[in-house]
Amino acid sequence: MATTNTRTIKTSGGDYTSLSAWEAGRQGNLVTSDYIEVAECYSMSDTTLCTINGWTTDATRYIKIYTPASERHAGIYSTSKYRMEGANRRLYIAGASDVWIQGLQVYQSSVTDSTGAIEITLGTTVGRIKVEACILRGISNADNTHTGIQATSGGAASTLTVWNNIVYDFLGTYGIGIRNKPANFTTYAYNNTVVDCGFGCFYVDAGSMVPINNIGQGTSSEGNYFGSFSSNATNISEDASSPDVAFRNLAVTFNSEVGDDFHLGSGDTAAKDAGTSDPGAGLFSDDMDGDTRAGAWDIGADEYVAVVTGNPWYAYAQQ
Amino acid sequence: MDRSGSYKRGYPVVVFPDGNPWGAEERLPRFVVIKIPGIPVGTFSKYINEWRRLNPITGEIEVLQRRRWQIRWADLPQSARNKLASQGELTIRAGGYSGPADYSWSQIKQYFRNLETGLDETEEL
Repeated sequence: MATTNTRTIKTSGGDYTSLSAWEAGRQGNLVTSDYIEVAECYSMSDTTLCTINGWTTDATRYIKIYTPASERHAGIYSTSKYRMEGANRRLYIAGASDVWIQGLQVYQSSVTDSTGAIEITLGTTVGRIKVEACILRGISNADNTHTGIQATSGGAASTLTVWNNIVYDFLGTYGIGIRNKPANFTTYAYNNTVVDCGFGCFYVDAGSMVPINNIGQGTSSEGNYFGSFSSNATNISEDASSPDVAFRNLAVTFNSEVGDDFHLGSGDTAAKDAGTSDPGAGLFSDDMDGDTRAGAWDIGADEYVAVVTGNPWYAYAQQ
Repeated sequence: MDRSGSYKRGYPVVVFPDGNPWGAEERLPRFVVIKIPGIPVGTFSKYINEWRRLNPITGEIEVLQRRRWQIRWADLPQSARNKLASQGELTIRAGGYSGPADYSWSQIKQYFRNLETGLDETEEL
């Protein structure tokens, strides 16, 4: 069984002061060393681009970049949690086949760059990339192609699995939420909420995407969903583009869309209890901020949890 | 084996403002710190750019090397290498800085090589 090496990324008092420095310090051949390398990220604004390159990994000796529960966002972009912010590709996977990204916030704030917040460009290397419970945020008024999560290249049968992510405001003329670009990649997209992307929310240039339980909202010039989808089920679109006919032209009620709070609102009737249970066959059973999914799953990154208000009734047993 | 994605000795890794509280592993034996007081981060950022090119066949941007610039470690003055090996840091005087320093930028810039052109740095900061 592989040895797990965990290093902390903090503004002070940790092992590294940026994810990029961690990558430089820990890169290597994890297969021969039999390691799992873990970057544990704490509250800070990390403005250094991070390229993951020069690694050798496999399915059991891999890279994990995550925020621990105490440092995790609560489903809304927070400047008191770990975040990667700035122009250009924030997190660029160019040379590691097995990477698991969990609970990060990434803000791609460029108004000129044609890049993704998380981008996977592996050349001929077969990729097995996972992105879970992240908040990926773009910027308005950009004319270039910029994306939340993009698979750009990889070897035959590469996979990108994304679940419980919130992706929003990639509002450029060619802004895309989740994109499968090459024929060699298949993207499995489960329970993601993608809002306000100018070109498309779920976009397939080539290859395929398997979407289940996703929400696409806002005006996208190519449609909330564009391209080739397979094994799709219960995907909501605000327009008429969902591959699932019964889930077209549905507006989801969020807590506060203008406030970028994409938790399901109490009055929502489109997504609550309308999803496919366990779309990932055991891959996950919670939502973007750790609430358990049970019964009929909600569609999107959030599983609605009713907030109890007022004084609860107590039952007394009189002896 | 293609090691174009790996860091090599002498590649600048990150650039931070003066006074950055480096992490526990951002020091010897794996890393050293070169301090250039008073020079803005943006001025030095070019030394951490990747060497990339547009692949004419695929049309994709590819990384040829992790860095376009490399410090010619083996050619540094022996006293500089000794100090880096023992204390893990070097202070360079540049711009308007007039405090204590080990070397001036004029003395040390020649050891910064542009891997794409093969030429050593000649510009002032």
